[in-house]
Amino acid sequence: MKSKNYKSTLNHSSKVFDNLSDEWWDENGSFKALHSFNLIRLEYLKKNNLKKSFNGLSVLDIGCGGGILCEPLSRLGAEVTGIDSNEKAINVAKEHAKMKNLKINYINGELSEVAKYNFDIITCMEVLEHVENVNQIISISNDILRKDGIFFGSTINKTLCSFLFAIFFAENVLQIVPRGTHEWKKFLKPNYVKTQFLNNGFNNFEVQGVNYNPFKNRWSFSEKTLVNYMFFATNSSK
Amino acid sequence: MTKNHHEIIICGAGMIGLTFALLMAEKKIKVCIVDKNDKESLLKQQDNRTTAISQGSYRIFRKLGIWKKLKNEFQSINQIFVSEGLGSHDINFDHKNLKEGPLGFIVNNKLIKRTLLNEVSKSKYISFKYCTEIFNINNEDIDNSFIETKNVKLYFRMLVAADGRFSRTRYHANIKYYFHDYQQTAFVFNISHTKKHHGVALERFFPTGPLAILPVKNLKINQSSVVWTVDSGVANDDVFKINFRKEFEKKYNNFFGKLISLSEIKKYPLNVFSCYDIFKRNVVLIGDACQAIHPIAGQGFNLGLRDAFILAKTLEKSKELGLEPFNLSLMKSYENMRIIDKTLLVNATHNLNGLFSGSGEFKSLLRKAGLRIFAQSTFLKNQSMLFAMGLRSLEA
Ligand SMILES: Cc1cc2nc3c(=O)[nH]c(=O)nc-3n(C[C@H](O)[C@H](O)[C@H](O)COP(=O)(O)OP(=O)(O)OC[C@H]3O[C@@H](n4cnc5c(N)ncnc54)[C@H](O)[C@@H]3O)c2cc1C
Ligand SMILES: C[S@@+](CC[C@H](N)C(=O)[O-])C[C@H]1O[C@@H](n2cnc3c(N)ncnc32)[C@H](O)[C@@H]1O
Repeated sequence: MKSKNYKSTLNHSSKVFDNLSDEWWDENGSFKALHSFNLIRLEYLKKNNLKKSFNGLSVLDIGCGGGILCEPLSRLGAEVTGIDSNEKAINVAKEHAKMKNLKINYINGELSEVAKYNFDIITCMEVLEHVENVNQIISISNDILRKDGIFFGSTINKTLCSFLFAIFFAENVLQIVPRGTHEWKKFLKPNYVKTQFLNNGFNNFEVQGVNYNPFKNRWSFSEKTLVNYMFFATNSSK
Repeated sequence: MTKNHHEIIICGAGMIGLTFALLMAEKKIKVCIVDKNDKESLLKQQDNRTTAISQGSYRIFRKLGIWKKLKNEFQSINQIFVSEGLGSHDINFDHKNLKEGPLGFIVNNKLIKRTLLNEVSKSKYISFKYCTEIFNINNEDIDNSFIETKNVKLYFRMLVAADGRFSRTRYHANIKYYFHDYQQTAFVFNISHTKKHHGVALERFFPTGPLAILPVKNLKINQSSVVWTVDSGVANDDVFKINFRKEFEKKYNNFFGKLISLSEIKKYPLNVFSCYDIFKRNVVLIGDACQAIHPIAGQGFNLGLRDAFILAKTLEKSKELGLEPFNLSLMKSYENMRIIDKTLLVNATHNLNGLFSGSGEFKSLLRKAGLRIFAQSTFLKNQSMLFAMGLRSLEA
């Protein structure tokens, strides 16, 4: 299995995250929606983590950015590895973890660099909509997840609503998301994502809609997946 | 973590700060309490007041195991009579109309404080710094925040200010507040009378201010505790001072039979403080430090306890999710959960006092009409009983 030839999953076009590197930990800054998202996604992770506690689990966070998700997971006792193709983000993440006295393994690069390791849990939040080759990330993930591992993700649906909200409204009108962050053509329908996971060796896939209120900067679980959604996939048959 | 570094520091060992500490300890979260007093004087504090504990607060105390430590030294309130002046009882709140138990309980403040202090000193999650007064707060850098005291700097990630009505923390954290002096004085004392009170509380509204008589548990004598609010103009009048007992008897009007004796009388000037922000950066205000209201409805403590209860839940959540004690999104949700309850009570007590004090024709009409509508509406009565019992805001 490990003999697969990994092509680069790196997203070269994304200069956006370069320019925002000072803002990762500003809870009122450009990434404020990611900070408020943390409450509900951590809750989702806790609820669906079949192993009950994160203590002692090895977790890989793909596209970790400044480490907004890595840090709480580390505090909950997980051995966290964060990987991101953006060098500045990784440097911010390293600095911040050091200041907070947290031991997190941050790697600047692409997913193939950690292909020799194994993980109990992989998280990949708000990343798939930025990458060129989703299929490849999923395929590598399946290789490096241990049996009964879980892949947690979150991304943006490809609907008229998401175009209006995530791009037009969020980037231009409300300006809560930096302009140029998203390209609608890269947004992913839940069914498409599900098919990719099932084709790549996962055997269970569940979706959870979430709703963002930009005026209150608050997230809630939702029946619908009109714009944002989370999901998890497991590979119990491995 | 060295001995001067704490995740959570509580400033103020009043009833709210102490209960908050116990709530945190129950969740196995460590806290450090600082108070400017030493242990002796905290125990001896000359507080002759009683507190009307609502059902909601009672449930919190029961959960913490505080209630059984009060060893039956509480009096349940079974009925509340409300009237304008000496009029017949315009509204009668009876707990039998709801199936939630008594309307509340009257407990001696000293007993509550002693019990809380005792529990706090037994907890391994709570450390205590006596004789420690806050001189300054430095929290420009959330990762390097500390309070300055006479001898040491104490570092914190979250500072919970429970230092009461005249909070210094509020001042040092530069949190703006609304202040109003009611120009009223509350006289607080105990009385004994010839008839049994049967758990009846009385609230009589006079143009010079409201009179509350609350039943006290006492197996030997028939005793009640009095909070009598009087316009400061009247209260400071020499003739009034000399005739105090006679003036009181006029308002009391032998409700529980003849007046036998009056205890020592304590005076409290009445004012309202209400902060525009519940928290600022990693400093959060609870209890009287955040809002100190008019005692007209006997709700200050209960309101503050709800602050403590919900803040403790919020901080438990931040721990469960692996977040730091101070997390902006969580604190905003805390603020959101508290704001309505607080605003409602601050305004209600403020307006109630305004409505029932003073003697204009119009006001009197309004009062009478209001009381009548109220008296006839079971729904309104039950709703306001639930509210006063503190059962409305704890459901979340
Ligand atoms: C006349 C009257 C009657 C009342 N009756 C009722 C009632 O029946 N029911 C009810 O619910 N409420 C009632 N209340 C309100 C109730 O008493 C208060 O809401 C409640 O006691 C507030 O408690 P707290 O812990 O917030 O503040 P406090 O009890 O004021 O405690 C503050 C603590 O902080 C400490 N402190 C202060 N400054 C500093 C500093 N700079 N550094 C360190 N420590 C400091 C103090 O030593 C003290 O221990 C009444 C109030 C009054 C005035
Ligand atoms: C919106 S941020 C999300 C950050 C983080 N996951 C969070 O939710 O807090 C997207 C991140 O994905 C990273 N990214 C994009 N494509 C990537 C790839 N192919 N491999 C690794 N990281 C990538 C970007 O550099 C950026 O930091």
